[in-house]
Amino acid sequence: MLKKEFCQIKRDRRLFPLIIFAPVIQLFLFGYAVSLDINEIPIAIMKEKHDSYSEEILLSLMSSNYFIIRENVHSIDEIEKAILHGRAKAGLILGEKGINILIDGSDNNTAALIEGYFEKILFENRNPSIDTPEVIPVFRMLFNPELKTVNFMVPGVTGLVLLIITMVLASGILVKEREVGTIEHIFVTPLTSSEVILGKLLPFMIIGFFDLFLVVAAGIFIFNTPFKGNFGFLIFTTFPFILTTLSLGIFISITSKTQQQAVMTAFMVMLPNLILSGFMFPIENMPLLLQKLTSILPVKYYIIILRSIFLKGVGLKILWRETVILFCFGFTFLFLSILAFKKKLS
Amino acid sequence: MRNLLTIIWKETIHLKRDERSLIIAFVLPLFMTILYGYAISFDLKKIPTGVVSFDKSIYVGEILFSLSASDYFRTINFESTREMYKALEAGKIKCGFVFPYDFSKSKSIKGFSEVQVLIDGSDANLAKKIQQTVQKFFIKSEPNVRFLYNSELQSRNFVIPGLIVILMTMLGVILTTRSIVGEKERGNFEMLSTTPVRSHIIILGKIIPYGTIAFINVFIISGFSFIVFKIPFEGSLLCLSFYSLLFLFPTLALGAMISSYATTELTALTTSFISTMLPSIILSGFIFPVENMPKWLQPISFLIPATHFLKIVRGIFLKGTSFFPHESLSLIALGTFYILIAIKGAKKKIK
Repeated sequence: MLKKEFCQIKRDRRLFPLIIFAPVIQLFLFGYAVSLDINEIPIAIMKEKHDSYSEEILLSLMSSNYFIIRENVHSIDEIEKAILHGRAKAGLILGEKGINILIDGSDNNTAALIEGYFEKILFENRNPSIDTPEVIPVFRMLFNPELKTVNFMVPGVTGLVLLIITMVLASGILVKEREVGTIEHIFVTPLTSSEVILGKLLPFMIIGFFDLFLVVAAGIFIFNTPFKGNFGFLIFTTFPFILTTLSLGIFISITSKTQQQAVMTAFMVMLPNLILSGFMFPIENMPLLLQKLTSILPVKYYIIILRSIFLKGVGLKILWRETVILFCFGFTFLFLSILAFKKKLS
Repeated sequence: MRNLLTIIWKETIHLKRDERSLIIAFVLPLFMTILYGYAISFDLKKIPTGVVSFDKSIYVGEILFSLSASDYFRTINFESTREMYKALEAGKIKCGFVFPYDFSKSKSIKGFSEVQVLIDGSDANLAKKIQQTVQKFFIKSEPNVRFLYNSELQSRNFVIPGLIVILMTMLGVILTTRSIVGEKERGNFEMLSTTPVRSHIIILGKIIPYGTIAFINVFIISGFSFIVFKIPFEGSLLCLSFYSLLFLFPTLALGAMISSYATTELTALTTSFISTMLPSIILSGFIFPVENMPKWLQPISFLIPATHFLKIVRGIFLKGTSFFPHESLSLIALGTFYILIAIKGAKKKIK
């Protein structure tokens, strides 16, 4: 059974780009594009007050990497117009009565970041004798001191790539046999259904692990992501995750009639995973009901494990809960897919 | 013209029978809107925050009280920094405050005191947000800031108009390719080409119903999010319709292009997913600003129709703008570009 599957995979040329290029391309896309940071923000300046303090603020605005002064204007209307047409994202008014700031709020993330940058610069230029606040926070960033988004994305993409590849592959297999008509051959062999399913799973398991090594290596050597944890532990936790996704894929493929129906269903299953797994959008910010819903997504736990291994270097002692859950998922879905296959047989 | 209408009619009947396409066309968009509307939020509230205080004075107690009373933090007390560090490692808390022994003393001597703030930096975006929130909490002498167009800085107001663009792309491309390539796969295309109807009329007739579905969805989603999510709508409906039609041109052209090269429905489906859905979500500026991507990546994002339409839709929804010369030109140019490639592919096939 194993031998037959390997031969089939070897012969299917279409699979190679999917196995090798798709993970790397995704890594590049997510690694480089996914960042909420923003630099060189175009701003408009309106200066009514001509004193050394205003000059100082302007100077540090210009020397910072955050802002570019796009235009100097003389009225608030002009600032609003510049923002409306997208020429500027914010306007700074150095007025007689104090400093006012206008920010384009349509992208709320960017807007909040811009506000923070302004505050930072104004705080650095404050008059120490009057304006010093009572409590000054001194920050220290743990686990990712340079706050590089890539370091956060690489472990997440690793989980996502494994999910997509293994599920698409697995959801295609049985249906394909059925479409080509070879599934009857399998039915008449003396193999038990567990043997058939396991024989189908193992080669894809190996492909999954191959992709794991590929993405992790690319992350470490191309993106310089730190890898603080134990590689053995990574393999130990990846096993139940791939088992889950492959079994789920096989389950989909058993219950679908055509190959494209299977792939379609697999995509449908993946969509909520993309949004709800905490891969891009923090789970803590979701409403409580959705937060509860995320606990049924295996990839959520796997991404937590991956990020902790990569960035924090922690092991089983802290991650035991997630690991146990993944193992439960894995064996449950395996059992379900074998059960579904048996039902199909009879 | 009559031929065209006949094909459109034929396609509509097909569509009525094709349950899965109907689900994609009408159920999926609403489902996505609800999911995105609720799930995507970068607005921080009740950040789980650890506190270690070596200074047991009333002054620190007051600060701690106002911390936990604020909307931003949910405080958990720890006995030692070691314990707090462990909680940070385990992800139970996202940031931690350490008040040193001489905290209140330092205030009476120097006039100010320093509190150490540890932040879990693994999610860089979140970490920055937390840092700013903390900064804002302690340093109150902030300038007057007014936000235009989305004055409460709601994530929803930013995400939902963008979602319309993503859904239109998805519907336009996936449904079109499904229908054209499906016909090809089943061998019906030869049959259709033996009829006196010319081939571009066939393609057009197959595209129009799906374009209409995508177009209708714009209004379903807009209406839904206006009522349920209270998304502001500053512009005019007429404007939205006009630019939506304009956007359908490159989108459907893209669908036609993929279907002219793909031979099976399966490859068409996978290609349209990988080549339109993923880039539209990641590279178009739907969530992550294009300005901030590396210079070599930006040209790619300009090849995606969604990038330009996103600017238009957000302009209409949030700013009430109605004139987008630059974006309109880009959309037309992209549409023409994709159509030309599609025709080239189709000609090759016939040979």
